[in-house]
Amino acid sequence: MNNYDSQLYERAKELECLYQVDEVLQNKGLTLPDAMKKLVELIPLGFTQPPACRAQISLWNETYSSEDFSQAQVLYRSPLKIADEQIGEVAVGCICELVDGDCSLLINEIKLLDTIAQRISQMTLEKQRELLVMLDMLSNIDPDMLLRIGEKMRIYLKKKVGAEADHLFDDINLELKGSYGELNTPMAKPSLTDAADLRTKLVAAAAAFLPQGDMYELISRWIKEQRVLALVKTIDNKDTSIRNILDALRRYTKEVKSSNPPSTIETWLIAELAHRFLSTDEDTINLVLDNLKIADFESILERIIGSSTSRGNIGGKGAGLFIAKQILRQAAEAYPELRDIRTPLTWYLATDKMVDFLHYNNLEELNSYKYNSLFDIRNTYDNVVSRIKNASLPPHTVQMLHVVLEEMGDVPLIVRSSSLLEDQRGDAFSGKYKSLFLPNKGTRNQRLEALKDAILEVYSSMYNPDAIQYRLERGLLNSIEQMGILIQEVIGCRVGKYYLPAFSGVAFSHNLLRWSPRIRREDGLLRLVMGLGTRAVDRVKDDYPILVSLGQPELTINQTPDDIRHYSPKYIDLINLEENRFETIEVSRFLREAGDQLPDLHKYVSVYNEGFIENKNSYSLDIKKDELVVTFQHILTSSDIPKKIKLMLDVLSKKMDNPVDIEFAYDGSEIYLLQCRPQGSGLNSIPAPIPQNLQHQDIVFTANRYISNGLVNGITHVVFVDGEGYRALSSLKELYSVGEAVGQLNQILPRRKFILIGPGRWGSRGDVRLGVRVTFSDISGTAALIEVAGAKNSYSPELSFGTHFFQDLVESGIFYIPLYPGSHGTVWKEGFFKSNHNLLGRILPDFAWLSDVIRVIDVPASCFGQTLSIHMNSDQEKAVAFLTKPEPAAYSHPEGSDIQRFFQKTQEDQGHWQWRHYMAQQIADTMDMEGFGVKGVYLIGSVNTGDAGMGSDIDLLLHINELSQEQKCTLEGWLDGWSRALAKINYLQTGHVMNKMLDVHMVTDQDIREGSSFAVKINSLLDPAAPLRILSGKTGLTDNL
Amino acid sequence: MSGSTYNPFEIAQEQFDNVAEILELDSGTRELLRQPMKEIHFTIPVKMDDGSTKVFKAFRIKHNDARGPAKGGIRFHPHETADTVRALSMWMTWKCAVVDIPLGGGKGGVVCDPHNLSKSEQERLCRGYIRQLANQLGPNLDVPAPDVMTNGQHMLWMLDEYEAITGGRYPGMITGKPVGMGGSLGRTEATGFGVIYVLKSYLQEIGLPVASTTASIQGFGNVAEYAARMYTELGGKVIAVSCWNQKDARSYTFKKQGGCDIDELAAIKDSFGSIDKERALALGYELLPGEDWLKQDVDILIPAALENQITPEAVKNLSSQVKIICEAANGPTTPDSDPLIQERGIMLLPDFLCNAGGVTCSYFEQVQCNMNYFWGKDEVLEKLEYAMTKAFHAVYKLAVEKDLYMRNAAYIIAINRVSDAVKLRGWA
Repeated sequence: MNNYDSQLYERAKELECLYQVDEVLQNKGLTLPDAMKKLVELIPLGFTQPPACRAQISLWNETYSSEDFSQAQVLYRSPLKIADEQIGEVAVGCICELVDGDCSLLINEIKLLDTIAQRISQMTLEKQRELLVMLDMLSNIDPDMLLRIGEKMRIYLKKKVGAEADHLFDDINLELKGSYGELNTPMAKPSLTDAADLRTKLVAAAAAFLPQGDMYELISRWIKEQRVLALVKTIDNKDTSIRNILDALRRYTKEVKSSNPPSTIETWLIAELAHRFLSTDEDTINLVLDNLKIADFESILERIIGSSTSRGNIGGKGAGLFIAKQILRQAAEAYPELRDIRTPLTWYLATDKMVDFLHYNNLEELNSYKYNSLFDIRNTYDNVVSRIKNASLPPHTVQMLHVVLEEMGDVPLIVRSSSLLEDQRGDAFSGKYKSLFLPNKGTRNQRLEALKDAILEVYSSMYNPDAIQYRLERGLLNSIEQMGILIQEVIGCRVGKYYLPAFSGVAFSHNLLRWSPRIRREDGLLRLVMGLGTRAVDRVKDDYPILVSLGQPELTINQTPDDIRHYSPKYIDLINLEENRFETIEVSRFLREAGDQLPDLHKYVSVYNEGFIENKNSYSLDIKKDELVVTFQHILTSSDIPKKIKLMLDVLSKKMDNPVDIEFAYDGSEIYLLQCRPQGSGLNSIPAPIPQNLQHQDIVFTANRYISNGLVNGITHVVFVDGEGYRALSSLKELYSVGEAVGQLNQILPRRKFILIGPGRWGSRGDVRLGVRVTFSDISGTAALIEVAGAKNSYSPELSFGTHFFQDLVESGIFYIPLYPGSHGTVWKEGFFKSNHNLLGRILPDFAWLSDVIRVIDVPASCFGQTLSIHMNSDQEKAVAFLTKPEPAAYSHPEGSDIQRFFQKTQEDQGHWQWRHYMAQQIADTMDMEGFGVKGVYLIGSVNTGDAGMGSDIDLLLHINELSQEQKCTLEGWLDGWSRALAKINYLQTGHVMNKMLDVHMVTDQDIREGSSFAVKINSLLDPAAPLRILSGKTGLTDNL
Repeated sequence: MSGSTYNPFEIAQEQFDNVAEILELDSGTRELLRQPMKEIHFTIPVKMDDGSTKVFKAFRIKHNDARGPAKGGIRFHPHETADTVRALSMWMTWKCAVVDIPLGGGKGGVVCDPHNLSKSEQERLCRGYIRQLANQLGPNLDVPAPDVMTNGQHMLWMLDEYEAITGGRYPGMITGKPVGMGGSLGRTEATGFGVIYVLKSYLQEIGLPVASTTASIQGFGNVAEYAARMYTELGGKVIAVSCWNQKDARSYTFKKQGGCDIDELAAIKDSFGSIDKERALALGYELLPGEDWLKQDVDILIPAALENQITPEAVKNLSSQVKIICEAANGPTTPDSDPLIQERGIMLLPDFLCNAGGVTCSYFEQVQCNMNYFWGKDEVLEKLEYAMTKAFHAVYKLAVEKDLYMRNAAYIIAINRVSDAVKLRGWA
């Protein structure tokens, strides 16, 4: 190669090296150290002897060098400068042993190195310029912000890079060194940091560890975040109006993308917003923090009506629904099915609006109303209602209600209570506060008046004696209670003159009403009704919502077409737009009147035709001719609605870490979530604690399969049908008579104070040997129905539930327990049932011959005054029946967490009995017996036995002559007067609403002779009627008996 | 109390033995008739929805088919036993014989609880039942029907499986199918109307015009409602109707001395057969305690609801005006009341005969299916009336001639017819 060629070759190499250096420096994805490390490898390539050449770059405090640079002889150093300030150098050296000849540098090589140094300087400068400008500005305008960014950078780098980055800030007093912990002396004040120094450090840090792009983004985000301090300040100021908060919030969400995980400021903001508008409850706030973003609050703030200082929140019900909605929205990312779950358009009247209202009307005295005696409250409540309903809402509220009506249009509305205490910590307040439906029809003014009126009525329900008593019982009387209000659109559509959702219902994550052993608790339970959901929420005595096991909808509760028809919803709640009111009408009437206008009717009803249930389509369904039965068959089997609801329950219960119950409605196309709260209130009783320290001798039986929740106290009588004895009966007639005897016992024994225990399936309609043949009326008074699996029954070891009146039990609140004696871990003391004295022969002499089969045990008489309690706990899958000192009354369905309170009996209970007894005596004493044709007045029932509670009536037995029609009328009128008066007094004393208090039974001489109906009571051994007054000379009674 | 366990089969045998004694049947016939001719006990493996397999025990028992193909329901029952099925199959033989339809008696059952089975599992169970039994069933062999906890849907699954196996269409293989799928019209009305056809025939016999009579009815379900409709249509006056009130968990008697309007009451009853109390009061009905239906001054009592309603006690309290007790329900009279009723000279039209309208209509369904031609409702009801009337006259004639209590006469006729068929065939 000639010299010219070799020179050309060297220049080309230099040029190539320069290109590559440029490329590295332009790559914004590289951090500075990475870029420098690449450069020290690249630079030698531009020199004559690349294998022997080594490079080193020092920039600020860092040095980057080729592998064995220390062994090289440094030949040239080119300084790195920014604005005449040296910030480092690039050095080149040579390992002489590797070189053939001279190892000095060529001129061109020196030039090359200077150029590279220049390029590096330039790049560093560029990289810093933007930041510097930004930071310069900051240090001038807002030195505090610079400090905060410094601190943030330190934390960020520490997270990102680790301890390496620490020394960068060593000499800067960003924070106090040392412990914040144990020292009791005041901490020294940090010295003010030199802004310029910090700036430099920041830039250095940025350059050293972060790619250029990242750095810029981080700092600008931090700056924005700091800007948001404005929002923080806004929110931190407790007097800011909602409007201002909403503005600040909107500005924030516009400027700042929320980060994941949220920054501490975001967390603080969310917590603060939650605290302010949703709830002060720690658990709720944690839930909000886990699931909500700042932007989510906009939708509340847009529709909250609060006072100028906004010190109120949206109340428990509103918060529950709002949080659930956000959880579902978030979960929809993973489960697209949840995307179309909606919530109704809701306006929130904040709780403090009620305070405003009271001030505005000078009603502050009502604040102390709750401390009146319940008697006074009951006496004056009507007055309070009328005062509140005649008061006016503050102008601002009214003004906002115009806005509400503007947005809602003329869709029917529901005005729901959402108080501070409602739906919190298991205090359901169900049914205590009002929810009112408004058809929302008429002129704007009429609609406004109706809305105002409804709000006032909900306000007044806060002083409802029931609610105050409830708070008293729960220890919530002193807690601050304020009434928030939700104004929601009613989900539904117009059908003829009615407005209603196609169907609605409640769903529970845990199914505590399992009708088949195959149904698991986690399968969940759905209660569906047509129309408004009011009928699904509570037990309805004369109606049946459709019950569905959500996990296994195929396992239906009713099997035969007759049962399906029988146990189907018969009534429907809806809004009558013509009459302008909420109505309950028969489903059949609704279908007749408007069925043809309900879209997709065929999806909700089946056709019952000569013992066959048929599902028709919209073409074959004949509304006029077909007998329509509400089954929701199509919805349950052919739509994804049950799946969606189950998924909703699963997601919500998982997020809330608690089983939940929800209310929902379906308008014909979408599902709307209406309410969400922790399960444990409403239809399901709460789990009773299983006592741990019971003496073995006190336990009568235990069960550990298919247990529901509940508590039964004060059982005084047990009716036990012995399985062996029952099977030993030889004729059908004998077997039937067992059922008859049970039916009679049901009439005689104190209602809800006795339990029935029998083999197999109660109420079997098929083979009578399956279980005692009874109808629901034969067992309607029992507190619990217990079915015992017979080990000796070889046919079917599997006890099946679904006694065919299972749904009757559910709606009447009678507990159902299956027992498996002998199964592992259970106690079954047959001796208790078999060896205690049997009362059957004395109570029902006609059935004395069945004494080997039916055993009636008077628990207190047999067990030293003790009564039987049954505690059922579904969570533990345990139930235990044990003997205990009598509890004065059974609260079988407490709704709340603190069950213990229900054990502590109110002293009033004794009073219930005493005054009833006194009044009964008064009635007898003041009665014109001659005139009325009465021979004797007797007392029977709970007042006689001394266990009357606040809901008990007074059972009187009158021994009468054959009365003339006139006599009868006068007597009935006289008694009716007493009856109504006593009922009113009882209401004032206890709040228990009843129309009449007397239950009068009349018997004649003939009845007494024949011992028919109530006449048997007169000489009954079990609870004999007590004579209150007997007309002298006419005491033929006892002679006859 | 006897130490032995209640066994329905033993009771059925005892009942038969009593009548056999009266009829002086020969020992061969007795031996043949006091037990089923054929019993099949088998198991049905069913794939459950969760993938597991469950095995169900099943029966089909043919008591006697001397008079024609066996007829009888299939029961799904968790405590089903062979003895129950045996007894029920025997009762089917007598029931078909008393109304003189050319069918024998059979019954089937599966030990299962449909409450614990999904719909698709039940379908597989039904199909499994037929797969095991296909060669034993058929329109000319043995004809199943719905029974306890089975219904038209189960019948259709079974029919479909049967037809898939045999490769043809044999709708007469099973009854209780929905109308349009081989079911017969008039089934809803059949039992209730049948009761009144029998009553009408008796009133004709004693020369009492229906229009001059009054009745009190217990129950307002399907049977009671249609009995009441037919009775009022014929001119009779229903004074009182007693029915269960779900809301109050007790029963009431609704009384209108001028005669109840059945359409009016049906319009305010729910699917429980409960009449709306308030609306009835508004319509001018008198509200009485449930048991008062028995105390009315009427000519005819029609218990059409529950078993064991007419007890010796109740018989004592019957109005002296009562001439006829027409048993529309199954077993409404307790056995110990029978002698008292007889003593008082009240005519008892036994359940066995009175409510045979149902099985007769099932027979009609089969007939229509076999010829694949379906009658209108009027034609069904007309034929029903003919069959019921004829059956009544045979029993009544015997009762009068031999001075028998109607219940006994019905049994004697039925058993006699079967034993004749057995003998004629040379089986005994």
